[in-house]
Amino acid sequence: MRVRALVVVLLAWLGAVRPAVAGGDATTAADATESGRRIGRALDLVLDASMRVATGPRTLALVVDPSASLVAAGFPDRFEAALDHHAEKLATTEFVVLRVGGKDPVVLGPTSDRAAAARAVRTALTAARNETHNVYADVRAAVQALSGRPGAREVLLVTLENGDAEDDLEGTVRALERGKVRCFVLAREAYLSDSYWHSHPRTTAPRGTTFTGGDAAFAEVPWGFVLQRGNPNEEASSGFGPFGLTRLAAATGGRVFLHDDPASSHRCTANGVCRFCAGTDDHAPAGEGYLAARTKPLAPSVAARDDVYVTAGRDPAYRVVLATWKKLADAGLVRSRPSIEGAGAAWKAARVTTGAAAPLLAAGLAFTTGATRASKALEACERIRAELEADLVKTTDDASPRARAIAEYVRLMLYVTRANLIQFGAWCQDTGPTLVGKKPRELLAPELAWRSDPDLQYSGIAWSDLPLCHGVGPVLDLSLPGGAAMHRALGDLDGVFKAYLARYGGTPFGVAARRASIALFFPGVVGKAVPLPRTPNGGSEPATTTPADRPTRDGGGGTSSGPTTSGG
Amino acid sequence: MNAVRRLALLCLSVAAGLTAAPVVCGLDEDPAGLVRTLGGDDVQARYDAYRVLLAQHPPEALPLLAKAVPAMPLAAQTFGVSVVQGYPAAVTKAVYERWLGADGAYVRLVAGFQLARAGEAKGVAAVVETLGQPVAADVLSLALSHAYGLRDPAIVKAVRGLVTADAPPAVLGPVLYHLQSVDDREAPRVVGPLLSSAAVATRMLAAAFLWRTGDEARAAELAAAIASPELTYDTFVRANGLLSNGPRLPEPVLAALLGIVEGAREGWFLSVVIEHLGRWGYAKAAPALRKLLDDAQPAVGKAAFEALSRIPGGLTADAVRAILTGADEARRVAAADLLRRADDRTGFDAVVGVLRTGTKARAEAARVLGAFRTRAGVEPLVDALLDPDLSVRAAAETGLEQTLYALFPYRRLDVATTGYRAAATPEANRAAVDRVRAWWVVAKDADW
Repeated sequence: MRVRALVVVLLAWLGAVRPAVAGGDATTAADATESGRRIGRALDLVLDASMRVATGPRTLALVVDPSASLVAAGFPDRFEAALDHHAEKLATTEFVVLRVGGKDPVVLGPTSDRAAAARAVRTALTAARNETHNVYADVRAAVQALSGRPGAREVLLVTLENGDAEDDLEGTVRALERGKVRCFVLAREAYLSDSYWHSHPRTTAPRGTTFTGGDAAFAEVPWGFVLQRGNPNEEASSGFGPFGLTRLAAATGGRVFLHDDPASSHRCTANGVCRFCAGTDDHAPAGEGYLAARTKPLAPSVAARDDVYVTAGRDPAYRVVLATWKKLADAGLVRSRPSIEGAGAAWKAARVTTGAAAPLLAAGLAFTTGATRASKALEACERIRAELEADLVKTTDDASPRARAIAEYVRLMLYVTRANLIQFGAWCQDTGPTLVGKKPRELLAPELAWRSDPDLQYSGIAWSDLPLCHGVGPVLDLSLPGGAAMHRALGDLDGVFKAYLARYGGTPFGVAARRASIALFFPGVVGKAVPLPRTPNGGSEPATTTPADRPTRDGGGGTSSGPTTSGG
Repeated sequence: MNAVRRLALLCLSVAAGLTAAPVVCGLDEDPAGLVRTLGGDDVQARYDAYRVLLAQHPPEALPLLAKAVPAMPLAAQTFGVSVVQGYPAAVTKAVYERWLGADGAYVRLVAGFQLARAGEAKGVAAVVETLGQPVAADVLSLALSHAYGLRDPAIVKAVRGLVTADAPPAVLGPVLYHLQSVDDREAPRVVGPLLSSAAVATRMLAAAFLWRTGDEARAAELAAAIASPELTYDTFVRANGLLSNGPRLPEPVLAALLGIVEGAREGWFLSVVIEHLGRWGYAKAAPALRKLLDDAQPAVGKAAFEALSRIPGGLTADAVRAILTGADEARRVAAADLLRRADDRTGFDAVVGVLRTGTKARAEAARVLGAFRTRAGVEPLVDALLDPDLSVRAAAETGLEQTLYALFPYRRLDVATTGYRAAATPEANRAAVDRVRAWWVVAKDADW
């Protein structure tokens, strides 16, 4: 029995860190991602190389991205403690320390002095900030620093904030392979097929790099649906690290370790407040913790990006997504365009990935125009939804589970959009004019006139979010414009939502669905423009600078509303 | 229209949508009256005045606050400071400068911190001088929260100077928390000797600080202090900041915390401790936590539920549902509330039942029913507006307003406009409740 237990432990260990030479056999992020979220465990597995490196010398390069979050996670102390803990097993290991973003990134040359390595890491993290860096250049610098070193060569890239600014990912993979370097990564969880940099194109990537991001090779999920303030997939933790980092580890036989911040309060929406919550931290939804058995089949590929394009282009379910995405873009129902384009074996990243959503909200209180536009958009939405559903039925079994999940997510979003458009049309015809006093309505106490101040000037139509985090059921209980059509649309959405969650609950796709929202419309008021204080140079505008700091994002990934995940 | 102007308009337009909630109440007073009320003895009126000042920030109130706040009771000073901080920095600087000469240590420290944050040397000097004199523990605790992240070496040194062997826990707690938050490298040197203190409170605070600042070997001392029968809730709460929002608590510490839970300590103690066990998904705590699910004190049951929901396999809905048919009405309501929070509405009927026929948990039932935000809850809540018990009427009124706010996003509703006052007798409220019923009959089937 004891021997059997030992074998089980050994197999588990070998599964965790394969004794392979450089060159990995992982095909998806789940294969390359270690379960658990503890920095200490990551360091244990990387520092103790006894199960994967034959006796003899080893050089381990630590590439440290100096972010405030890494300091807050206590990395220097944990690293020092792990060095002490594994002192015996590190007898033949030499360390090189590199600081990401430095002109000369090597801050400590090869040394077996563990205390010096700990000091170098600590020094590298002084004045740490959450800035955008191209960590791939520093990994290549690490390969160079390891060149000619005897024995095994390994890199541990520690970056909680980067991995999405890429200059030459495949060049970095090739450099690691040529240098026979195995790459380990300690990173933060990426968002599901993150489209953030597409939907926020004004932020410039560091010179010579492109923002990618997300767990997947490209932004596979259609984003920018009309009447959604955010993009649900951008608020759902993926369960995996950024694609580029996972690719480095997967291609070289390394592993990706994920780090989570301490669990924080659940929030139903990153935008505003939830009407269904009775106070902060009230909602404790089931299904936000990821189930490994469900998440693993949905993991993204870690093949080279060009190969992923071709695979996606040939996937029957993803072809349905691409066709639907194009129709949605043409109809203005999303403000994005498909991320890849091509045919046959020639698929590549699309040149243009942003489009323009149909301008539903006209200038001012143009209720009639709004209703007409809503009706036209609804017609397109219904047609595209019907076509998608017909195509999905025909989709063959060789579709990948992930592509199918994306297709079903798009279908769900079309049901959400349908409800939003029906409501908007009805709101423009009846509710809006009534609220601003254009249509009379008898008021009984306890109801008050919407317009609290007769001098109030309305400027246009505004809208806010009603998250679907609690499901569609509570929304069905609300008094919303649209009558029977709206009620039917919500009833249909409820059925689709439940079926979707039965399949994708406990996965990032389930969380993304719960971040979608029903819109609520309001007459916006004319505000007062407050003049800014005069600036020293005499202008009235503040001096503009391009901050290098990363924007703060709400949502998953260990931040405010992210699920607790269990990884791959 | 320039970009800034457009942004301002956009913000206001969006805010109009988001804040279109019914106005429940408001103080109809001028700024002078509001400031007077803020410094008065009536706690509820003080809070109401604070909310109005905070929401409106009338320019006329600022000079009045500058003058009045230092002479207010400490609790009112905290409100006053909070309001002042909401004004633009350009106009508050003069207020802080004035407060540097105030008698009260709290406003002097707050002003010093604010000016120091703006790079003003006189702010630093005032803080150093004030901390060099005896400062009441409650004042220090409140004031240090305004120094968060302030790493001025002179201020850090002055705060560090408060770390002494005989410092009471009420001082040591906030001081160590602050030193940890500014990553003071010198502090471990002065904190270390406190580990040999005879007082368990001092030992615990010192061990918590040292562990939190990276000395993982101190986990054993921390666990020992937590396990000590002499440890009081008061001390634990003072050290709690050092145990929260940081790295995972070590196994011995979690085991010691579980010991507190199993030791059947006071409910308010348990709630705080249980939160840690849940945060770190401490599976060994699950059996003990399950036993607390139907604890007599709702806060304990709630904390246990919360923690179990974070422990893989910790919570089964069936276990909670079983409580819905139990004998204790308070536990039935608590179980229904726990399920509601997880989007499970099976406890709805149990809550309505308690509200209608219960004897001791009707007010809580009204609160929980309001939290359901459901159409089916409206009529029971309207009925409860005429309950003979004032606390039930008040909870029903709040619950009804919250429910109607959720159900009717396109209507401004204020139950008070019917003439309803929870404090009045059911007889006096009958006509008002009839008005609510008449409205509901029409509104419930209306389109929006």
